[in-house]
Amino acid sequence: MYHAKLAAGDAAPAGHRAPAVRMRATAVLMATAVLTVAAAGCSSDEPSFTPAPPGTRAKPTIEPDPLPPLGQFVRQPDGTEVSTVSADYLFDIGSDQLRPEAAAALEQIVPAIREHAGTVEVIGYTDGVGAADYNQSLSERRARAVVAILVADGIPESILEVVGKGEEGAEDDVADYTRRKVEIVLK
Amino acid sequence: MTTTTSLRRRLAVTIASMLLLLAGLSACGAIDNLSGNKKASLPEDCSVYQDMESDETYPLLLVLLDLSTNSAELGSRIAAELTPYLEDAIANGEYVRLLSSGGTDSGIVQSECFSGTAPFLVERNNSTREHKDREVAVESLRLEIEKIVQTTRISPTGSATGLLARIPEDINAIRSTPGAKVGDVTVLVWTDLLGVGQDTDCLNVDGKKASISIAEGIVKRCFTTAQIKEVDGAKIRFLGLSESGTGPQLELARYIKTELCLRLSDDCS
Repeated sequence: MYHAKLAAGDAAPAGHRAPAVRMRATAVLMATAVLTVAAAGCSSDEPSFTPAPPGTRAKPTIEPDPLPPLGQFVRQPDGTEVSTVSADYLFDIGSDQLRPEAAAALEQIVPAIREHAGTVEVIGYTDGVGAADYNQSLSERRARAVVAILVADGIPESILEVVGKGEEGAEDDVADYTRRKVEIVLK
Repeated sequence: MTTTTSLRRRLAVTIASMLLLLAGLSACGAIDNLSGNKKASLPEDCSVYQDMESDETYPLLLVLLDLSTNSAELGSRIAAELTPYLEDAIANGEYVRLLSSGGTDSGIVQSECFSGTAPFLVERNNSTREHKDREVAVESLRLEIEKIVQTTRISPTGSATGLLARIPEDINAIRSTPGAKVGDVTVLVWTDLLGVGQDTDCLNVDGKKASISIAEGIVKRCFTTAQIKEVDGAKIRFLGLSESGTGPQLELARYIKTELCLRLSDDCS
């Protein structure tokens, strides 16, 4: 047969290929075309959804409410002087890491402590929400974080005392921001 | 060979080719696999990443998106923040329900993909295959989240109140799904907590002062008016608070988050 005489790679003259060879070649070409088309269809990067019209919610107008200067100490009947700072301002919820702006604000109390001849207590408090043990530990860790900032600002560690009072004075299971605080007491 | 036979063969080859083309187009994933370029795409049916016949107990992740914009950038950021949670769900098994809202007029939309009715889980016998399939699954789900953000209609007003209010009922709905065995529950809330709009909305903070006492008053009102209720036994995590806003806006949002957390759940941050 004619096609049996063809060597591999030999091109048969057009119009002289055997029907079986032509059919095979056609099949291979069709299969290649099909795979190419399919692959092209698969690799489309077009988004397959229609986005909603662009929209933005209005922002509320919020008035600033700066804290009173932290360096203000209030004289107590027992002769001590106390500065109270909200723990919500100093820390995120459940955290003992001072927020960056709080760490900077605490520098305001450094001059008063430098001028003070006695010792300084840093007392942490929490409200009554949560487990008492956890709150006790959190109040101590927060007081310690404030002490660390004061030491970093040059106050001798020897005059600073860390006190954790936890839920002391707070109503059980009641969220009360006035109880979440840190007091700096000049004794 | 007769002309009729030749025509018949040509017809057969043509039909076979058409069938092959249809099969190829409907099996893009398979072709991508063969070519070594398996890419993630939006899932047509999220059940391919789910364990539909499981009788195990799996945790539940409830995702609430309070969207103040629907930009592609925000979609990417939210998807990126949620990726560790998706990875965990795909690897260890987790029910995931996602609700989104663009504000007052857009209502609350529940994602079909993240319906929470069956646990996500991708497990394979071959660890290499499992690793690859999990990567593709997570990427597909990321794209789905980006799509959800971009297809959410945004109203000029709104707040997180409606979404937060739904937490207990959505948890209960999934717990009561036939066949569902739900373990620990985590709620992720994406919100800037900067609500505006109706005066009756307790989280409308327009015109308020950025003070801790004001934040307490705002949140107390949410609970006393039962617009938001306590959620027992669920971890709650707030995301996206520092996405936008000025100093006072961010401060008030942070104080509100603290007050919400203290009242919503024992495990909230």
